[in-house]
Amino acid sequence: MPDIQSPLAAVRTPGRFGASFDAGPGITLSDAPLSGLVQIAGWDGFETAVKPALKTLGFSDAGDFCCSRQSGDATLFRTAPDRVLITGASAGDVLEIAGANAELAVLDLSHARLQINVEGRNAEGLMAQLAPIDFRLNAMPIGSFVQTGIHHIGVLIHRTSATRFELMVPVTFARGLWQFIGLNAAPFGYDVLEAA
Amino acid sequence: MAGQRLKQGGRIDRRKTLNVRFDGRKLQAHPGDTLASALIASGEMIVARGFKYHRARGVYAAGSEDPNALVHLRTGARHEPNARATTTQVFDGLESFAQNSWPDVRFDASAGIGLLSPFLSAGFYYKTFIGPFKGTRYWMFCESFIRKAAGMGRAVKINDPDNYDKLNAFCDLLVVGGGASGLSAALTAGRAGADVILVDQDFEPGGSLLSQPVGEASDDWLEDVLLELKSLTNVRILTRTTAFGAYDEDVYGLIENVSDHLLAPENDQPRQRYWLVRSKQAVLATGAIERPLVFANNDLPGVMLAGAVQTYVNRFGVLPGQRIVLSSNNNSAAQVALHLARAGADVTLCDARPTLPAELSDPLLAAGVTLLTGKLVIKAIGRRKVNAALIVPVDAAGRATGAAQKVTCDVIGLSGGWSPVVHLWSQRFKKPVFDDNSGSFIPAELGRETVKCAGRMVAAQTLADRIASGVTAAQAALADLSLDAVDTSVPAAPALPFDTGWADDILPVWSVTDAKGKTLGKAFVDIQHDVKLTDIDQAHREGYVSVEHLKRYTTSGMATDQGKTSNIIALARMAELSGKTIPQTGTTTFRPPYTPVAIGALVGHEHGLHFTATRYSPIHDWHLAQGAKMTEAGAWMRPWYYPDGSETLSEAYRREAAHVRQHVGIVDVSTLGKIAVQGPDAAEFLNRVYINGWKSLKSGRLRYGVMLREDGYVMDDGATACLGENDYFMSTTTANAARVLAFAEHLLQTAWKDMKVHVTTVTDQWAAFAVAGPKARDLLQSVVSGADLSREAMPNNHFVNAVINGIPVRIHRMSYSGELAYEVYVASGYAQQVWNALHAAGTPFNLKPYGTEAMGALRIEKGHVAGPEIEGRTTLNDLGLNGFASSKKPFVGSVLRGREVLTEASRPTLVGLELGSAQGAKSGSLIYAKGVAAKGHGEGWVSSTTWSPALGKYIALALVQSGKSRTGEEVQVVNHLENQTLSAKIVSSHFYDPAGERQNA
Repeated sequence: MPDIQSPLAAVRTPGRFGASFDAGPGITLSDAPLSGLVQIAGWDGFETAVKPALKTLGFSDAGDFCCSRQSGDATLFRTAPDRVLITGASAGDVLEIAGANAELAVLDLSHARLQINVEGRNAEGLMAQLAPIDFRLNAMPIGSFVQTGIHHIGVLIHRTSATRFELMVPVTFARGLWQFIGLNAAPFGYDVLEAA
Repeated sequence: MAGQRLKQGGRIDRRKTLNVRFDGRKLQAHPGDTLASALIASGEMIVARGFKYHRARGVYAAGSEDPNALVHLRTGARHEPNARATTTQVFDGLESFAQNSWPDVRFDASAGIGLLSPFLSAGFYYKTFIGPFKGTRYWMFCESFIRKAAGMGRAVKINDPDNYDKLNAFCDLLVVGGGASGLSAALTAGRAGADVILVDQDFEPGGSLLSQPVGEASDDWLEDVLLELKSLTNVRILTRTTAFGAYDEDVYGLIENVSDHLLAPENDQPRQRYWLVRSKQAVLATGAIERPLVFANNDLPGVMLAGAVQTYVNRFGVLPGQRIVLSSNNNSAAQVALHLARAGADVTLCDARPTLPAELSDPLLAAGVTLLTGKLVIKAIGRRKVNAALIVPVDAAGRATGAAQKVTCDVIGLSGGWSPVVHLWSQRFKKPVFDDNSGSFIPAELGRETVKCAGRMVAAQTLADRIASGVTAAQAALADLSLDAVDTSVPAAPALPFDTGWADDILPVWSVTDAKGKTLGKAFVDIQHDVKLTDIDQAHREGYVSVEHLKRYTTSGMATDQGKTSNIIALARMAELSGKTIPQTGTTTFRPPYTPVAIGALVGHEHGLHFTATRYSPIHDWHLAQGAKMTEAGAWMRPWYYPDGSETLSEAYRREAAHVRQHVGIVDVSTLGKIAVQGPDAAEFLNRVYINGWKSLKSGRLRYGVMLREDGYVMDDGATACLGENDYFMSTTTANAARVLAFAEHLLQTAWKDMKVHVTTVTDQWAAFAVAGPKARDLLQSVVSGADLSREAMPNNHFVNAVINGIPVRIHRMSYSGELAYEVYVASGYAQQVWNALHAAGTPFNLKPYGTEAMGALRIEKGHVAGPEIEGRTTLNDLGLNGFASSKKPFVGSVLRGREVLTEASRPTLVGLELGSAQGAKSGSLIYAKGVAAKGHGEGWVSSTTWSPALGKYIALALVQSGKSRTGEEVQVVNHLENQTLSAKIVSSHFYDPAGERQNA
């Protein structure tokens, strides 16, 4: 299969932008296609029904609504009481087993989202400009995630380190959101990395 | 004498002089000055003109309450109208200009309007609206002149080059106000470990302490507290930041003037930043605003608030005048008098009270202050500035009781008491209560709330009281936060001379009149809006009782200062005239913003290209590279047409549509809404939301469906494919994708909670291209593998999984254009590769892209309905879709579609129009029978219109009353907006290939 084309191909310009500080830019922006993204949904009894599929990836249960779970290259997000998202190259491994269960609805969404990474010493400050969420470390510790809106577009924001947030954004809105994030990042100074 | 800079004193840096100009004249300005202090220091007495009468106005106050000193700042795209000189921090290169005056603020040609003042009294606008002639024509005539004469600054129509940021912030405690009480509250909470945000609108924290002489003990207190606060990492201090709004759920709106004190923003910083703060607790320590006294000519340049005079002397080292008369009814003016006398001014203090206690009078007399007790200023004398004050003995109501005396002076300082700044509190809760002790409105006791108040805002009088109230408020907030106040020993209050406050022994006089209660000339209550005391009197005479009505009738308190210095005086006058107390009269409602907020700050980056989020197809850049003209379709950008050379839209779409009919074309339909419908009850769900049946649809098939709203009108249409027993792929129109998804979610979460169905948008997952034309099959068959696209193997309404260049695709056979057509669905990340492969394979077939305009032409020729027909007012029968509706099952809208009003035979129904003219009809044109007058709403309307390349004429779709029975009738097509009347013949909406032979080929 060919490489997945990034929706940012024409607007991502690697380099340094915005404010200049002795300490260097406060933000680094980058993007990466999701190597896999699968949604599993169900109804009453979802937690039991989904267990076998999750077990194939090493997850013991469907997780909680605030913190992601990690197993190998797969990351599990409990996005609703009857719904989970799994990212990672191995996410597709659950398609078959989950798809065989009529009590589950399985959906490959690996082309539906782009991951935009916001990283740097001012990452919290930039995120505070993008969404009405308390992004400070004590309120949003490493591993936690939220589903919210940036520029009125639904996104999932995952904190993966003290200074890094990974945003799952709809690919058709990614281009505009990327530019919007860049405008907000300018006062901090920011680097744009080459395509992953 | 005009104002002058003192040789010493003040919190300015005399070592550096800044280049600051007003109307081109260079001002004497130093770092630490405001524009107002620089104006006074430079002898600029007249800095503005009145809103209505164009009377000369000078600097009146020293803070955001100033009603007069509104100016233009900067030039070009950074021009800013209605800037308050009193809160504008000077910077090198600042250019300022008077506004609302011509040719010059000193000699304003419009000043003669004052002669018309008898005709411009309260209610002028309302009276003008209703007469003297019938209708509003006279008003419209007058309005143009009024608008030119009145008003304030002028905005420019040039794009603002600066950026404005928005920021969401969270904290345990928001402290509003950086005066003694606010600082004490922040320190108390900060020491306890609370996450504190302290905001102050000034560029330097300290509040009224900054108005004390430099080097006094208050400076030591301030320095100690600030030093400790700045050392606390859990305390954020925001200066130049105004809390303008307090909202439910403890949300506060702040504006931080990040770069307004600079010539232009530097290093990519925003000009302003809009903070939305969500705070668990808040301490409001917003201080108090001094009240003036109202008397004749009280708007003359040189009339100022007494506390402001003190501020200019002590903070900015500027003496506004050499001979100063203070007119007061309370103790707070004593400190002002003392400081002015020490600064070298010749000071006369008039006090309405018959006597002053010796602890006040003795030091004042010792300092050389002339005391006139039992007396107040009744009139300011002077033509363009104050040169004397007329002083009279007064009674407790402010009425003259004896002969007047004239005292030569150049400044009259006023103190009629103080008004606590209760705006934010009132925005959150309700109207404040009147405190008889202090003669002011203060917050009511509400019990356990998330907002605590402190300092002058609750009429705390002495510095020690204000510090203590800040500590107490913070302690209460900490208790509600379940935090312990570890150390409440905020540095003790320093001793200040005459630290009396205003409340003790205040004599609540509001205006000064003659013995009959009349002023000796124009006496302004609301100086910014030119509302006079006589306007209040007139409103009372005309029967106004409610203060809310009084406000709107007289416009008192409705200008940019929102009546900060005038509201209570208007209320007091109203109370006096109606024989009520002030509490009985009440006060008006406070609403955000406390001070004006630039629209740009509220907008942030959401303007221009980012006004709303934009959606792009995965092959957007290919379209651009081909020179496509793009058009907005909802949130999407879509290729409108692909001009060949200098082709116009009309030429291009005709060529593109004709090419599809003759050869093969491809159009990007990735914008179609796509929804995964999954679950054991998916077929039943579709059965309910669509009018037609779905339970018999087999895997590998797709079906056109129509859905109604609950009220029976058509909502959307599209095709849905059965991917598996529990798995369906629904497509919707581009415009209604979000609406259909929300509609489905709504039903599943309310009416049909027991259904085992999930709906998920997959619009982003899948790109789609329609390949249409007689050669479509040949082209696709040449490039796909793993699929037989022959007519026999893949008839209409079937789909097949296939591979193009190694990439999995799904090919649906269906036609929107009326030609042999397929839709190719591909995972969006591979869209460009598949699109490229199709084009490469399409060369021998003469494949060409076509845009939305040609796509529209093709579907109109075919008579397919789209958004212009499914527009919320049409029924199945109107659109000729009744045949799709199942009579064997209920569906959403199935009951209400049978309402009488929706089944009337005369309803407009879909027809085709053939125009014999050389012009096409405009969408929205009205239909009238031939020979009748084109009046009223007509008998229908044109919904879609195009030139038909296939028929070689203009055609249109229209909804016409009893349309189906009028085939062959000639009608008028009238475009009232452009005075266009065309003749058309009603025909079938299926203009082209009605038997469907081409699409079934």
